[in-house]
Formats: sequence, structure tokens, C-alpha cells
Amino acid sequence: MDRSSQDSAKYFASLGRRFGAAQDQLLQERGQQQQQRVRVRLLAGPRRSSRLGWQTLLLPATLSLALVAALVSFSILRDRPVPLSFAVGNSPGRPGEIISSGPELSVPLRFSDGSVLKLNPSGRGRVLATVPHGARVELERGALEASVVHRTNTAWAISAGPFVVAVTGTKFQTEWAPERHELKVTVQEGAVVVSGGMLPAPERVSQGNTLRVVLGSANQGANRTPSWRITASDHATPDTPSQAELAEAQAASVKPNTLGDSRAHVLPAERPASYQAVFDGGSPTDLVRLSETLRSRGDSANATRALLALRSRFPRDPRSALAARTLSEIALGRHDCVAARRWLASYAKDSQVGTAQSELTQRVEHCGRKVP
Amino acid sequence: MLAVNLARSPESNASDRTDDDAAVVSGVLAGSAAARAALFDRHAALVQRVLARMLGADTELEDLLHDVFVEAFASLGGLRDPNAVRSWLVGVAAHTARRCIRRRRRGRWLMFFASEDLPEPEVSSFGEEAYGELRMIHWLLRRMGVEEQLVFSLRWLEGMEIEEVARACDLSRSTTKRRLAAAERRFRAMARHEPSIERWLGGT
Repeated sequence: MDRSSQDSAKYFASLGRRFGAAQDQLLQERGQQQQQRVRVRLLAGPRRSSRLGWQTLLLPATLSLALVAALVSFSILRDRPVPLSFAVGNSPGRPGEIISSGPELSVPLRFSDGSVLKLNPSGRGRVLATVPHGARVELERGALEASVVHRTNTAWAISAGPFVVAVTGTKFQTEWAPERHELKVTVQEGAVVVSGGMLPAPERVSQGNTLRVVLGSANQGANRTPSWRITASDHATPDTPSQAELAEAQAASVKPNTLGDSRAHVLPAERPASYQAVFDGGSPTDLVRLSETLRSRGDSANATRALLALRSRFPRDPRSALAARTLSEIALGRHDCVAARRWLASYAKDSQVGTAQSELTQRVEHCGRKVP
Repeated sequence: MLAVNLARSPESNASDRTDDDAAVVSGVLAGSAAARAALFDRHAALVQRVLARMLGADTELEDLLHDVFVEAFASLGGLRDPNAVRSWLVGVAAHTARRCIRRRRRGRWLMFFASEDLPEPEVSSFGEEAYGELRMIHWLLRRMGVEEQLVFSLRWLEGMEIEEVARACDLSRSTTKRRLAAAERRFRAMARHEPSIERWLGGT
């Protein structure tokens, strides 16, 4: 409805009069009391600078804090690391319990993160412990097929005799034959790192490859020397190594370059010109791999440089301690007994494991002594 | 321009007391508690009414009245003409109301209820219908911009002239008229959907 400005003014004037009269009546009822209270506060009490005090915001502030606390608690509880649980077949599994598979049936182990291990027939093992991102499993004998779900900070490890297979999300099979002191790791997807068992350095086995390690005969005691090789899975070595193979492997442990092409696909840095760049800018993993490559080719000098670079650039990395151990072995290889002892002492200090019960310790101790 | 005569409250015709106002202001500036009491007694009803016009029967009205006088006592030294203390206090009230409205609008998301929407105390003798219409009118005013709400309230609900409104709101005359026109259009547009207001006004 259109109105002229005159009508509009009359309309609002009328509105104002009605409104003013009604509100004045209301104020008449309450206004005097309000004024009196304000007068007392104003003239007798301290001045207030603001009415938006803490009382006004108390409720929303309290609720906001409670909401934030609830969200934080929920977040913490949700992200709180809880060790994995697992089931053996259809029954809940408990860490430490021996798990045996019959001669014909395999036993599946299903973990709460989706990882599945399968203990093949005639196998025996146990889950030693579980952590939020993995588990430590001991394989006493037989074959264990693993399909580990990859996650950040995955911490899976399979112990097989003196070896440890570290896993970061992969599909692989571990087989341990204690009577032959033989470990066989076949990787279908991803990669694993095998250490222990007197391997001179951790061995990385990548997709499509098989690592086979045979320790010397049991009666060799502490002087057992491992023989190992990595081959493509399609050309996996027979289950039982021949005498010729053992001899070849023994020789390879003395002259690692004889492993040659069979390891080349798991080792980086083929060009000598790129060594310096890795020494200066490579990661600990790069340096370890390069040192392994160089050692396998008999280039102990550059392998030493790679390990020294690892120790100087990453002194707090756990592999730095292992580098000292490898340096001790390299020193032994060139009959530098003083350096070997020094590096072994550094290894014992850095790794905080001491040097007892170590084959390397014995070799270092006997270094330079005349054989009677 | 159409001259509209609006009913004013008694205080608005108290120009003969401006000399007394000057003396009271001098007393307040000299630190006299009695002068402060006198200033309050003279103008508290005016300030209270102006605040009520701008904000309605607000739950904070008492505190706002207190704030206006706290502000006035603190800044009275800046008053150039002690005889104009009345219009100056209206300006302080408008400033206080503006600050209050803006604070509420800023903090509205924090509150479960805007304080102006809280239930009012029981009114004994006041007509329920009229009381409801007062609330309705202020509900409409709160849908306007802050300056439009103030200008409209002072001009039409308190009955001040354009120049007085401009002075109280610290605006130019042309800006005041422009905002008033915008507020009027908006009010009419909103009131069109509230037939109770038309009924209350008796079809005017």
C-alpha cells in the first residue's frame, strides 16, 4: 500500500504516540524503582565499567570449555594406541601361546588391523607380543605366510631362529628349518628387511625375490658362517643346498662381489660418480644400501666412506651403531686389528648391547694373534 | 516538510532549568557528590525513557542507565556548553545503546538466548495486548541496521526533531534523514506482515 509522505508521517507519529504512551505507563510502574536502585549504586558504590562481565559469559564459556574438553578427550581416546588383537582360527588368540598346525591343515591368524598370517602345515610358532601398529611373531619351524596391512609406523617382525624379518606392509612367506639352520623369505609384495643370524648387515628383500640363508653346520658352533643369496622367486634355489652351493656361498662371504648380478636389483647406486652425492646428501637408508653394494663389489674403501658418512651425519640413527659394527668387520677384512677393536668398542657403546656372545667379538679378540 | 507535533514528556520542556544545569555540571566537575546526585535526579527519567525507546523494556535497562551516568560523570569535562547537558546526555544514552546493540549482535552466536529475548518480569497492571505490541515493535526494530534502529526510535518513538536525532547519534542531518527514510520503508514493509500492529494503531 502506497502512502504519501504526509500519510507516512502521520502513521509514524500515531505509532510513536501510542507506543510512547504505552511504554511510559510501563516505565511509571517500574521506572522509579529502577532509578532508585541505580542512584544508590551510582552514588554509593564503586563504578562499574562494563556490564558484559564474566557472569554473562559464564554459561557459554563453561559449555564451550566442556565441548572442547569432550572433543579433545574423544580425539585422545580415539587415537590412543591400543595393541592389536588377534584370533587363531575362530578363537581369540593370546600372546605367548604356542600355535601348531597339523600335518595337513594350516592355521590362520587374523589381526585386528586386517593383517593375516597363515601358519602352514607342520608349522609351530607363537605371537610373542602385539603393539598398536604390529606384532612380534616367533616362527619356531615351518612356513608362515604373511599379508601385512601397510600403515604409518608399522612395526611387524617375524623371528625365525636367529633371524628377524622386519615388515612394513607386504605379502611374503617366511620359512625356517631349524634342523638345517635355513631361512627362506619369499616376498610377493612390498619389501622386508632380514637381520640377525650373523648376517654382516641387514638384507633387504624386495618384491618378487627370495632370500635364502643357510648357516654353517651346527657343530661349527660359534664359528658358523652364514651363506646367503637373493634370487628372483622364479629361480628360487632348491630346498636343500648342495655342497657346491654351500662352498659357493662360503666363498661369497669372503668375496661378496661373487654374488654379482643376483643382488644387483635390490641394491642402489651403480655409478661411482654418484657416490659422493650419496655420501653428502643421502638418507641413512641410502648410505646403508650403498655401503652394502660397495662391499658386495669388494670396494671396501668406498663402503667405509659411506658408513663413516652415516655415522657422522646421523649419529643418533640406530643404523649408525650397526655401521660401527660393519666398520669393525671391514677393518678385520684388511687385518687392521686396532681399527677393528676401536669400531667394535664404538658399536658396543652406541648400541648399548655389549659385546658378549658375539662371533665378531671373538674374531676381533683373536685378530693379530699367532696361531699356535 | 510537514511539521509533526509530538507529545513530549515534561523533562523536554525544562529549558528554564538550564541555568541550574550549568551549576550542577560545575558542581560535578568540582567533585561534589551532591551535584552528581542532582544531575542524576534531574535527568535519570529522561535517560531511562530514551534508552527504553531505543531498546524496549530491556532486561539490561537498569544497568544501561547506570552505565550512561558512569560515562557521563567520567567525560563531563568534555562538555563544551554546560547548558546543553540534557541533549548531551541523550547523546551518551544513544552511544551506550548503540554499543549495547552491537555487542549483542556480535555475541549472539555465543548465547542460547539473546538477552533482549529473555522473558520479561510479570507486569501487573499493564495491558497484556499493549505490552505484546511494544515487544513486537522492538522485535521489528531489531531487524534493522543499528543506526536505522536508533534514528527511527529517537525520531518516532521518542519524538525528537531531525536535528536533535542527528546530534544525539553524531550524524549529519542528511545522513540522519537518509537512514530514517530507509528505516521507515523497512518498518512499513515488515509491519505489513503483522496485522496486529495495524489493529493496535486503530487502522491509522
